[in-house]
Amino acid sequence: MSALDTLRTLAGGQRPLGGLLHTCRFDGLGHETYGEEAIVARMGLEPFTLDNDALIFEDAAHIAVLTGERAFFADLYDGNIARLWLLGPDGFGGEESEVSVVFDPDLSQARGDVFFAASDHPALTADAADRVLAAGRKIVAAADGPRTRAFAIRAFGDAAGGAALFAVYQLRPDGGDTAGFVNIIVFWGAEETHIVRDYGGEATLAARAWTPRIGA
Amino acid sequence: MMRWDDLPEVRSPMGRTLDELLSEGPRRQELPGYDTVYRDFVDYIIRCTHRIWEQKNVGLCRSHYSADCAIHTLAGPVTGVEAVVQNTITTLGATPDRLLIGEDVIWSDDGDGNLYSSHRIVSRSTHMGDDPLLGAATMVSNGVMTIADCLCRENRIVEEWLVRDNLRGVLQVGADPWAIARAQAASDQAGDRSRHDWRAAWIAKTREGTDVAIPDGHPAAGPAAMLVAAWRDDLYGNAASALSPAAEIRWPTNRHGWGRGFWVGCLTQIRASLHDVAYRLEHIAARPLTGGDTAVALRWALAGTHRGNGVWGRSSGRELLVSAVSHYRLRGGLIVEDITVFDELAVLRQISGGLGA
Repeated sequence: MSALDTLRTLAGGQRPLGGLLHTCRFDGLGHETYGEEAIVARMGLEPFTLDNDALIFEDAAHIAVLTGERAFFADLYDGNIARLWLLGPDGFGGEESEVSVVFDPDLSQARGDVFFAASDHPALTADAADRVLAAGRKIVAAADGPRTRAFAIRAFGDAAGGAALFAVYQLRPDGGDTAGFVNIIVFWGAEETHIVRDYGGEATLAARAWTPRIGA
Repeated sequence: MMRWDDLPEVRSPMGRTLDELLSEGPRRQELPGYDTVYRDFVDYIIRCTHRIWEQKNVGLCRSHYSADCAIHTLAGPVTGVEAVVQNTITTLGATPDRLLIGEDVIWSDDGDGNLYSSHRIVSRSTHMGDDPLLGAATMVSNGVMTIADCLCRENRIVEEWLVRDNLRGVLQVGADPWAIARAQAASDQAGDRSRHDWRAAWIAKTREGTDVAIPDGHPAAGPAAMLVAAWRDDLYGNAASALSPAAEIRWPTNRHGWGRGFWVGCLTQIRASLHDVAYRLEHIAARPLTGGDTAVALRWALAGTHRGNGVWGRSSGRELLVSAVSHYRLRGGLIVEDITVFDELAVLRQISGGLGA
């Protein structure tokens, strides 16, 4: 079973016959879960169909698929999915409790925008690094306020085409009561760029209680 | 004694299918005294966990732990194989569908027949029965991270250091962690309190501060220097330069984020509450990963006085102990992933007056 077939089966809410590692971690639509059984159960809540004309980039260690308003990004080992992100308009809700971490993303008075190390991404060619940085800056520029940072956590491809996954830190510009990360996937071709937001993750972040302490 | 990257055929479980991990076959590593079913040391750790927990053959503990094995946890020691058997059955009684999904086994040959594993596990289960820690059954499915550091000889675990993200598990089932911690502390204060002397001894050893030696060229040197720079010297920014600018950070109780600043935040959140801090590195291991990355395991302890109001509530003035294991993934000379586990519920138990003087 190819990685694309595995994603197609999962999108339909079905259990793939192989292709999804038992150790896989899933992060998407405002929820994180772990293990094949839990991921299949989660995907079954809001199944969808992978378009036949989906935009697909794949190499030995990654696959990224853009289908309608949704996008998958996955780490692969020997064609099996080891880690999976799903972004789109849906949200599973039910984010679990956490200890909120109080932190400064910049460690500098010169405030940052995109945090990226080319050495993290061996499958990204040097001429594509600028595409990743440009995409990160576009994400930050389009954000609601100045307290947004883009962390390039996965990227592969070359100048002609590829994909990158960003963890985007947001401190709400309205002085709101939360801060945290949401995911964004960027696909680029020779000319065009597609950006897919994680609306479910954004809703979860907005609803999350800010708890930099362990409750009484 | 072998180098950290010898025996590349003894592979990490990372990226391997369950079928491959559990397939039987010939030995890939000399394992004198180990059952013939085990192909290498990683297989020993993964397969015996599977046989004991998922196949429910708990009695195998009697051939996989020494009779007088010592298990160190931040909630107190467990001694002897029969206690291991009973605790395993008790856990299965509450969470019978428990899966122990092994993410990695970072191991070392420590010489004289001693093999040491640092086994990172995500436990997934349904809280179907009443549990001494989690309380009355909730039918909630949960999952938390555990790292079991085991010293093994001839098919038996002779000593173990177990860290589990118990506070996250408590929150997942909707329980009140402070109520649990206070009840545990009240129980600790009854009876002969000398049973908690282990904690004072561990704190004293941590304050004495002699780190385990790191061989020249060992990949643990970078992460170990990072922890020294942070915990001993309070040079958090310098320490964080060992991390990729976009490193993934997972710390207990669902602290999950990205970047050097987030890592610094995890440490300063604790350091703001703990004054007069002492740190000690207790063990190191490293193994190569598929694709050229390197996995490093550090077991470390922190002692300090709870004098700051903050993440752990109002200052209690108690001297606290934190026992932790960190797993790092190194790529291109930088840390791209830090997974650190300690039992934060046991920290609350100490703050509440538990676990001895």
